[in-house]
Amino acid sequence: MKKSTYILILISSSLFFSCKKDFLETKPYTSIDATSAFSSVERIDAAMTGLYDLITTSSFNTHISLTSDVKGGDMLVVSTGNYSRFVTEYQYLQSPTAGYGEGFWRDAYKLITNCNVAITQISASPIPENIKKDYLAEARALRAWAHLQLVRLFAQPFAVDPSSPGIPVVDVVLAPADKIPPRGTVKDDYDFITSDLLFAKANISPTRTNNGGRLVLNSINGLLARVYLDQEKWKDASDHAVLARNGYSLAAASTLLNGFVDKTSEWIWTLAYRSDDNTGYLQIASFQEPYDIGYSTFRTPLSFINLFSTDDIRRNQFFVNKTKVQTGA
Amino acid sequence: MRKLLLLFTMLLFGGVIVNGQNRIISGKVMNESGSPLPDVSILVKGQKIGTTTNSEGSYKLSIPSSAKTLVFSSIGHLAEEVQIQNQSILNVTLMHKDNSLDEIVMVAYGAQKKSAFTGSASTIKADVLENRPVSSFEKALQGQATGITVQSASGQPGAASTVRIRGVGSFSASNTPLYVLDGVAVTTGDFTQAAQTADVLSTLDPRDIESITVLKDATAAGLYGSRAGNGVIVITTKRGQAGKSSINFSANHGYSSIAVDRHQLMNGRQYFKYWWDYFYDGRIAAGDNATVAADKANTLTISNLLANPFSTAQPFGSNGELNSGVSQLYDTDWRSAVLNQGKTEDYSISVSGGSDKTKFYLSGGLFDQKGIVLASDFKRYSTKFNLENNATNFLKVGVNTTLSYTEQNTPAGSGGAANPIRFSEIVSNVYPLYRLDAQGSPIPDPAGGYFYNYNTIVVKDYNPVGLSKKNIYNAKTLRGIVSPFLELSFTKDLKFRTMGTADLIDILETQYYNPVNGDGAGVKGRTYKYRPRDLTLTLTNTLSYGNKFGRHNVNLLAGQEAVKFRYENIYANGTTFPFDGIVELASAATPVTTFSSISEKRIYSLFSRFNYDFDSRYYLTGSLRRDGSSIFGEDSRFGTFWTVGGGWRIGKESFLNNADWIDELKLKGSYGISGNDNIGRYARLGLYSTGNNYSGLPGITYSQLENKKLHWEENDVLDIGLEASFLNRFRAEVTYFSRWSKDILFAQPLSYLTGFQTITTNLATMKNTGIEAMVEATIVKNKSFNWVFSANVTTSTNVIQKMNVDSLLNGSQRWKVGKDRYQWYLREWAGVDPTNGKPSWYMNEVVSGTPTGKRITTNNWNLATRYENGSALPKYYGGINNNFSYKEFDLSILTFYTIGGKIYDADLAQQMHDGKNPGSQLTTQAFDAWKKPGDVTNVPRFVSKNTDLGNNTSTRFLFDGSYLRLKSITIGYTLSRDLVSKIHLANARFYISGENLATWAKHKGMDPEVSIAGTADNEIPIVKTISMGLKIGF
Repeated sequence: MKKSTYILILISSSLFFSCKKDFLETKPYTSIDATSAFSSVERIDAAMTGLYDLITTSSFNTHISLTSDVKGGDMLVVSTGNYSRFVTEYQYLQSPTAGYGEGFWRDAYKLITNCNVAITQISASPIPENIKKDYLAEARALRAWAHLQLVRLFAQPFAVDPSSPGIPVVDVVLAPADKIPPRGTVKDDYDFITSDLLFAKANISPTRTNNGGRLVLNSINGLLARVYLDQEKWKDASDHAVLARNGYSLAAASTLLNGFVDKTSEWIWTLAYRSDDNTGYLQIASFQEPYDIGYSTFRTPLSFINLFSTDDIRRNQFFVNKTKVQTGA
Repeated sequence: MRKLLLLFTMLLFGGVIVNGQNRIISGKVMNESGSPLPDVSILVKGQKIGTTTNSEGSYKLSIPSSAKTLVFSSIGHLAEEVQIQNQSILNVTLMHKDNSLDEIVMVAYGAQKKSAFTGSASTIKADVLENRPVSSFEKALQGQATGITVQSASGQPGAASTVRIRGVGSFSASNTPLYVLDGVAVTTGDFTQAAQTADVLSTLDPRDIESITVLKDATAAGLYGSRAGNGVIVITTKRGQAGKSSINFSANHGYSSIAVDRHQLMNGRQYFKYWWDYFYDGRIAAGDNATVAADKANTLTISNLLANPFSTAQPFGSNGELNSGVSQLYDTDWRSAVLNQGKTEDYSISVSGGSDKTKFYLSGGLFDQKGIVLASDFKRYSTKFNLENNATNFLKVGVNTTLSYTEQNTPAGSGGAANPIRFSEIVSNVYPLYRLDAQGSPIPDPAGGYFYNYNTIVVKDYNPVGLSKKNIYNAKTLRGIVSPFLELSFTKDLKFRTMGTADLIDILETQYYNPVNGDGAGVKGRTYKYRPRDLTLTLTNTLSYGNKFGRHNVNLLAGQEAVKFRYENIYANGTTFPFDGIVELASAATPVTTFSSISEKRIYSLFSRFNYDFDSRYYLTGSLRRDGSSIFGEDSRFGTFWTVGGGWRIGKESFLNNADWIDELKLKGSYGISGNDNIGRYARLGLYSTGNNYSGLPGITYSQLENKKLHWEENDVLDIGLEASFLNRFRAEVTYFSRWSKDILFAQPLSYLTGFQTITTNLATMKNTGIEAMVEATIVKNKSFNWVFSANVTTSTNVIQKMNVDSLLNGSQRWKVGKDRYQWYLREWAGVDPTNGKPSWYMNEVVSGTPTGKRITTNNWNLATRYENGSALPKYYGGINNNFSYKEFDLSILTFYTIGGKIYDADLAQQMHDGKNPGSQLTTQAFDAWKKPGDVTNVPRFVSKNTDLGNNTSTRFLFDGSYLRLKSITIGYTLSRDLVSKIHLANARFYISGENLATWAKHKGMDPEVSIAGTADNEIPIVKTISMGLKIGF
């Protein structure tokens, strides 16, 4: 009995440990506290890099490109081996739940939110002023780019009716309970996009190079050219196109038939998709390329190719299966 | 052992015996079915003289002349007192004792007598599990207890089941009950990442289980506090008894096939002809003559389907018959191509025994199941070792150990192109299984067999049979649960117990896509390797005190528990393999992903319970538990959970003293609060996630919104029940329950403009109320024949009481305040428009912007209105069971039923595409398609590349899910004692058992046992199994 009392004391002192406060403190291993994401140079660099990752997910930029292709009327989708991909878009049967549109809406505002956090946080961050200015310019340019994608996908073209309903402009970080901004007009959207891009043009570091797949001054001018073109402001569009091309010589005609794999001198902004950075399945090449891997189900009718004159080298950029064309198979 | 004791007793008192004038009395003791009973103790009443029966049930006893009465007693039988006259031979029959009153109910951190139990629990004994050819025990629970639903939507061996106790209480958090194995909560769930379905519970051998107790109400489960919110399933494994060691061997062999016939599909000729007819009609309408139309229809059919199973390019003539000399080269029944006969082999051997000091149970098992689909199997090697030792008179130590290794192969799953089930349901018979030469014969593959045909327009570059031989989805799981414990008895009333448990799950999973065909072709082969490890460490200390003060009985328990969960995952993915058949990543030229991550969770708890009863008549139970969970922030980390319960054994009251026929009449009630924290381990934090890389540089993105206020989900459970048993033959229980879930952890949808889809909140309230009832009757009870009937029913309703929004779309269902969580919300099918053959649906009429309140029909699916169409949850479910025994034979028939609840037949929707997808399989129901104006039918017009959307989701494919299933039927033969002792065995039993042999469903063509949401996702069909087994004890 005495022995047991002894053991009890021993055990209760060792086992009935008091719950140390930090026992219940667990921290994630692959994420960081959102409030600390802009607290150091390295973190800010990573957050700026992350903005581009949000563009390259297949549900966003990739599907936008493919959707635009099949909706343009210049391309068709063959049903064999296509698993009904982009057929909803091709047949104009999109709805809030059918087709890829929901993903565009979701991913664009996700990018916009990430840009808005960056824009808010960078001002107060511990980095040199010149880098701050450069990053702010980059974040605002990407925010403009995302709005531009949305307004082109979900509203009437500016040239048709600038006063028709646009898409909501989000220029602040919205808390879950905040009031959701309403839809303005298409013109409101373009005004906002233009002001962001002009800010970027004025503030982005002119010494950036386009090697890492990030925006540079020329690409911002290129985006401005596109925005002005949409608004039929021909002079501004032309001026910015010239600015965009400044320093980027046209590639030799001989390189034009090398495909779109290796960068040439005329590429101004390249989104860097790499084999070691999985951005999801259903990539552009999978549908567009004529090889029997991937889907390979997008086709151009001969009538479209015939719009190019025979001496236009772009005509030869299309792969034509001559045997099939000749036999009609 | 007992024999020895008695012998010893007799020796001691031997001197007394010889003094009197003795005579010899002898006889035989038998049970009610006439079998001799060995080891029956026979005592002279009031004296210490006695003996036991031998293995033939015979006894011989020398008794003094003073002896008046003999007392015969044996475990499991009612004791019998027999007056002795002058006879020298006395044969006695002992009746089997209905020992349900003395049953023990396993509760949190201990056990309680059923008579003293104030909560709601159902106990399932080993014998229900023993004959069943299932990979995991929970599959055998269906229909065996009230208030529990078990859904095994997949026939994959080792597949996960959905188990719900008293409905569903949560939205975002898990609804899975807590599984407690020999006193410690064990890890459950699917830890594979590529397999279609898996369940770590299947690492446990059901034959090691002594009993399973389903704890439903607050007092039973409540002491598990935060972890008891979804109910608790307590598993007790077998342990040794003092005495002669017993060796048990069991073996089971079974053969399986698909349980329920699916929709009848068109054969190759029917399918081809169906398209031919369509094109022929088109050509005739366009003005061609019959011969030209027939030729064109042949060409069009072949070019649209890109298939021709006939020997010429012009198979059909204008009469709609095959032209003369035309033969059909093949007719691929894809279903039979991907299915084969399943096979189960199950062996286990156990040795248990011990002395008063040490008891042990040791077992080994092998379970090998081949599924009914290609490349689907499951193998388990397991061993269990339970040991306890009374080291001193105050110290007991022991260990419970489970060690098992499983290996599972699954085919590709769900909507993927490589899923053999999906493939066989959607690809028509006009495509060949093998590549054919010009004559239509399969081309031999030099490597053996024939070359598979990967060319169908429906699922291009896939052939499930070919892929099943090359692609790999393999998971090897190592599971170890080791629980050493120590128990100190300070006095006989005060005990301290400590138990530490390590629960380790270690998986090596390989997913391989071959470089030639299918998913891997584009990248020249792809391999994923997954290597997750999940470790849970639990330390439980309890101090218990129990004493009797006169008629007052008091039991107290206080305890402390700390749990650490750690999940570590590593995976790598590489592509570009040099050639076919080489799988390991070392051979891949392109590394794609390397990944590792860790997540942790911790719980710290303090708890206490008291049980009190007065005179075994009035009972009072209460418990209090405080849990801290790392899931929540500092301010809301600890939750307090409590229960109170009471019981009144009315049958014990003096006013019922004369009612001998009442064995038990008890009223009980309980109320308590438990919690739930089963959400993402870092759900409350605002996070930027790493790994969002770009251009070879590391990137982070904003991945989760912070919610500092996140706190415990709460389940308030009220339980009122009445238990009665009488005449030693009838038993009934009825219970009302209400389970009110508050502050439900809920992924609150946000406007995408916030940059997020959801935020985890505590915003919803939901209530489940219901009634569970059970009756059991021993209808016939005599020497040779026994018949026990039992039936149970549960009915419950689920109502969402509060959300932050009025309603929320959840796929094909809608969560709406005032409705249940599984309420269908679909467009309503209005049939086929007889004028144009187009499908039609209902829509609310709107005239100049205002709804008129009327419904009209539309041919445009997109314009149709969505309506509430009823719930996927059944109104009633339960089991009806019969057990018969006749002499050495026994027969048990277990059935399971559900009534109400709507299920969606997605297969049928795929197979009624009305021409939308050329080459896609059609059911024979498509023959009823609309042909001309005026046709009244439910199948819309057939048009090539149809854009009418007739098979889009609507109530057209929503059906009543009621069914009755013959879950298990077993015929057994137990060798009589005479016979077994002659062949020197302790016991022997043979049985034949059938699982899922028959199903009577309201809606035919699919298995009605689907997921709780009422849907099936191209799952491996549920199987029926016939098995034979034997059990031998030495």
